[in-house]
Amino acid sequence: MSRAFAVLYLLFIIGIAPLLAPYDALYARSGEETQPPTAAHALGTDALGRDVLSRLLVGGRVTVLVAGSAAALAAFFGVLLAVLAASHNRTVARIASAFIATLLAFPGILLAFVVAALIGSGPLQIAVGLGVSGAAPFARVMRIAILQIQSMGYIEAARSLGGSRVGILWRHIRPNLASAFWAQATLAFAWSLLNGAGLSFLGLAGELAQPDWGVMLAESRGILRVQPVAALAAGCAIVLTVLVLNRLSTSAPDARRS
Amino acid sequence: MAAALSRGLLTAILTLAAAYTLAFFALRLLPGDAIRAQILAGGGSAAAAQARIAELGLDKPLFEQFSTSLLNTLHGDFGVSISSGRPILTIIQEQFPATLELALAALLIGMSVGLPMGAAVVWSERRAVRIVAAGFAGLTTALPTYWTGIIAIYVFSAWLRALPSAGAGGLNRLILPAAALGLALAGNIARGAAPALAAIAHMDYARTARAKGLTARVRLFDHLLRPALPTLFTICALQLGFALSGAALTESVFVRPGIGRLLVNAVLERDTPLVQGIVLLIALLYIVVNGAADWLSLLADPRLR
Repeated sequence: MSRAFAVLYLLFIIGIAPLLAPYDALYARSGEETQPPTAAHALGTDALGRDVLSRLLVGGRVTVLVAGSAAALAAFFGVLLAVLAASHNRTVARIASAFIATLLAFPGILLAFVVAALIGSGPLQIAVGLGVSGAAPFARVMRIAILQIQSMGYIEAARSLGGSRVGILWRHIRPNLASAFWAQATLAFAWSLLNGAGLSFLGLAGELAQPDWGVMLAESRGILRVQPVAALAAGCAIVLTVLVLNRLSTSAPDARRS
Repeated sequence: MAAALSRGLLTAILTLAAAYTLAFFALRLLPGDAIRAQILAGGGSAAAAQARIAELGLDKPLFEQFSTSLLNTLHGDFGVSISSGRPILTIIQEQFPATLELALAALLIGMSVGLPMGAAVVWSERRAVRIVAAGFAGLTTALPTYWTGIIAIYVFSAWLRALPSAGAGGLNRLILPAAALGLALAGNIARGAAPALAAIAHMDYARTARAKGLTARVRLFDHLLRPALPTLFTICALQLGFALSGAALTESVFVRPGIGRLLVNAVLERDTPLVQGIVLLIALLYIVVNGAADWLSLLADPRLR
């Protein structure tokens, strides 16, 4: 139930919310700058006279898509590294494990920040930075899960029946990894959303055509004393979405089994 | 014990060496030439830019640069910052105390809020307390420090006019940033502590203690918290690493000096040597803090030796 709700919420933010914006989110009205909420502008206007509600509804799309792509990247490279680190070839396994340990020596948000900033600025760069830095924690969790499954009796049985390594990996290990994978993937999603908005807050989003929640927060600081609603709205949107994603990760299938 | 310690030390040194290599090559291979851009923007000629690059040894083959830079680093020479021309070690030494102060204060707040919260989730006899504690722990992990910081500035600086919103030095400039960062740490600590405490609370000896009629206070401190100490310690030490690195956002919100904000500015100015120096320092701190936590939990729990 709550899983379906969370997925619907995300689809709403990406697909429907931008269509509900009452005004053009980029249109700056001179003479209507920094207004508190009124009948015409439910959440007021920002420093350039743009409608905060419209920017909030449109901004979720970039924020959620950046975090989602980052989580997908982290999942792809994380699983790849984990499979290599749990491989039967000891040299490959050692190199992959050492690589994971090295990446883990850099704290997540800093690695994401440095990678994103060095390849430029913009939503795509933020997603790549978060994806690269999310891969190592992902790999660590998946490697442990793979090693646990590999020590099970049914894997030994499959091997003694002559199953190939790739066949066993695909047919016997992969299905049992699903719960750990989805729990970790939603965690990566939530982490990327929280920190992706943070990177855009720090100014890595670049000259955006579309607003996002991190940028909105950064811009709201200048008008905090007069129009605190702008900061409140963008922040609440981030917190609500992270809470929904956290809920999704605890309700992932069999996540509680461990 | 000694074997475990030396193995940990060896792993730490190897990881640090790998981190150094990775940082060096990743930063050199990526585009962006701060020196040329800086000199050309300042009205200098292309020849002047080339001369400066040669002077810094940046026209040499990559591996020669690597061995020189590694040797210098091992001698304690981290080079000079491109944008300010000052030695990197000096800059970091100036900025680091503010970050350390913030991280330690935030950890203190995080522990004093997070540990009771985690214990309440497991320990409280009242369902309402457990639900509220779990809910609050869940909420704090979803709070971005850059947003709680902004809200705190609005409430305490703009509205109540009780505390300054920017700068460093003195307790009243430390409270707000430390509270914003500490709240995020509290959520992580509570979420880590709860399952560890729950595992102990369900042990046989915990039930026996209850059956013997020991008071709740004795059971809480002697039968639950004491055996959990090594785990709780590790959880908190990991958060110190998180606080030192997560300081970048908090320092930016509160316009505080510190290595986090130094790194953000260095990256935006493409000051590669400075970025490398800070990244290595943070990786070193992270490895040392986590290693120290492992070692201390070995000391505290003989079963792990």
